[in-house]
Amino acid sequence: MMGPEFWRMGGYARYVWPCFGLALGVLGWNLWSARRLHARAVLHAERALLMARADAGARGAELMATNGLVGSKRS
Amino acid sequence: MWTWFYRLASPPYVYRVAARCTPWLLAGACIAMLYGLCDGLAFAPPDYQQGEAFRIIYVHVPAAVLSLFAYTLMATAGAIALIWRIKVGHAVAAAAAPVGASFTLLALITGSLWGKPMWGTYWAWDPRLTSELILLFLYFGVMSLRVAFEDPARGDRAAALLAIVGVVNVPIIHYSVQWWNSLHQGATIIQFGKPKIAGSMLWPLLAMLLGFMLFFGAVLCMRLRAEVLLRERQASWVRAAVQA
Amino acid sequence: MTVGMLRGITVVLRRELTLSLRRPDQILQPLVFFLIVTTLFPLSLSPEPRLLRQLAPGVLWVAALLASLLSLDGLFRGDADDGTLEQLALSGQSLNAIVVAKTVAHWLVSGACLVLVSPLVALALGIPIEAFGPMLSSLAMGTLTLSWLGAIGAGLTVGLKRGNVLLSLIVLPLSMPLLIFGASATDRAISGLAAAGPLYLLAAVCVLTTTLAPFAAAAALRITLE
Repeated sequence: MMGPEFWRMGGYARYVWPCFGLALGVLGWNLWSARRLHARAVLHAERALLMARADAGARGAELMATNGLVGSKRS
Repeated sequence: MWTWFYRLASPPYVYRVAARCTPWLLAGACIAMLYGLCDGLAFAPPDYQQGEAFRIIYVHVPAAVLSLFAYTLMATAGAIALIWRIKVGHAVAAAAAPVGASFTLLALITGSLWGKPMWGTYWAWDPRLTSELILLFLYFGVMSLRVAFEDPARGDRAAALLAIVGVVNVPIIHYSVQWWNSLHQGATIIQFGKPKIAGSMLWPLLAMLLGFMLFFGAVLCMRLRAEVLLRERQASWVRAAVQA
Repeated sequence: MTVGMLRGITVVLRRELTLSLRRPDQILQPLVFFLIVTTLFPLSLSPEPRLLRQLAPGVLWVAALLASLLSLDGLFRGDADDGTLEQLALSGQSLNAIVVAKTVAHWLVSGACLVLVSPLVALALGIPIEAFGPMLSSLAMGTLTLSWLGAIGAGLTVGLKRGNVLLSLIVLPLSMPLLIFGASATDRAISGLAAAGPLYLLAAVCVLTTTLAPFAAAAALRITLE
């Protein structure tokens, strides 16, 4: 069934197969690009989280230092 | 009754639901496309006039239909976001744009490769082809406008407005074959009375159309989750979602 | 004291025209560009009259399009730079009315002048005088539509530093239909055929744009000025 006649596509092979190949390529690119975007978004979110935590941490340490509880500033 | 609609406006809800939908949509797309390709490539009889070349229809028509569908979705989502200030709408529009643009490009190139054996030329400045090309430029315009602004929220709103202004092109593309003398073939599927296309050729085409639509849905869900995350990364629900 | 909308439009219109007329170079530059670009085509393609007459409608229209695009960036940018635009938006006057006034003023000093200069260019390209009627009316409607489309694009890009190229990217695809109809009208007039068909279509596009564009442009300004 998938014999040589099938691949020849009645002489139109060089038009038909690139079309299907390109379609496959476009579908594949869409999947790959979507996954890449999601990975980047997760990275951005994690980075934002870290920065927020660092901010909170620094502010907390400063608060504790000025209150004389713990701190390198008042030893 | 409208609770499902209100829930769709909630970013964390959308993030979760999109994740659950994606594998089903992808599976459905695979099945539909597998059947469509097998039946269309191997079993559908060759066309009386066009021979085997007509099989390009099985990727060209779904790509073209999706290109119009994606743009309309993008414009509608943008309009909803602008009018009701639902930010998820901007995320949907941003997610739909590159996918729609890729399908437009696919439609144009497959159409060009189909045109060469059928019309004798890779390109013709005929109304449908020209307006589809304009659609591609509109996609690029919307995508460029979105990223040109420093404030992403402002970029979203500007892109939504441009998408709405450009949506007038979509009915022009669709009706161009009726309004003008066009090289391009007229409507074959959506019309009353006896369909112009033989059943054995029609079923694989419908299957491919369904497959492409489900695939679009799947990719849209994937990109939507990313876009929602990018817009909401300061929010508290993101913490739990990302660390999961 | 409330100022009626028509009076508001008149005031802004008069201001725009006064400001434009103080800078005659800003009016003349796009016109000179129009003349130069039309000269480039016979030089680069062929000065043969028969070929030139065939190319003339397209050359005329592309040159008009590009010349109009040049002046569009200044539609809102001058006022945006010195804060006048925000003042106008806050003034209580309808932003739609202000946009209408500015765009009409812009068309009067750019598109309308282009139409006035076009017979010169048409003669240089070998367009017969019988075709001037359809040509002039198509250019008038086309440049007006372009000013409206440009107002939308300018409204969207006024805040951006390098908004000029993006403006062209936005306006050109939207203006392709009027290029097709306008060039077709001129072409049919040159061939001696009735140009009514494309002219009516062009008029329809012009009316549609005139009706809807002010709202879109005002919405664009609200987005960028927030």
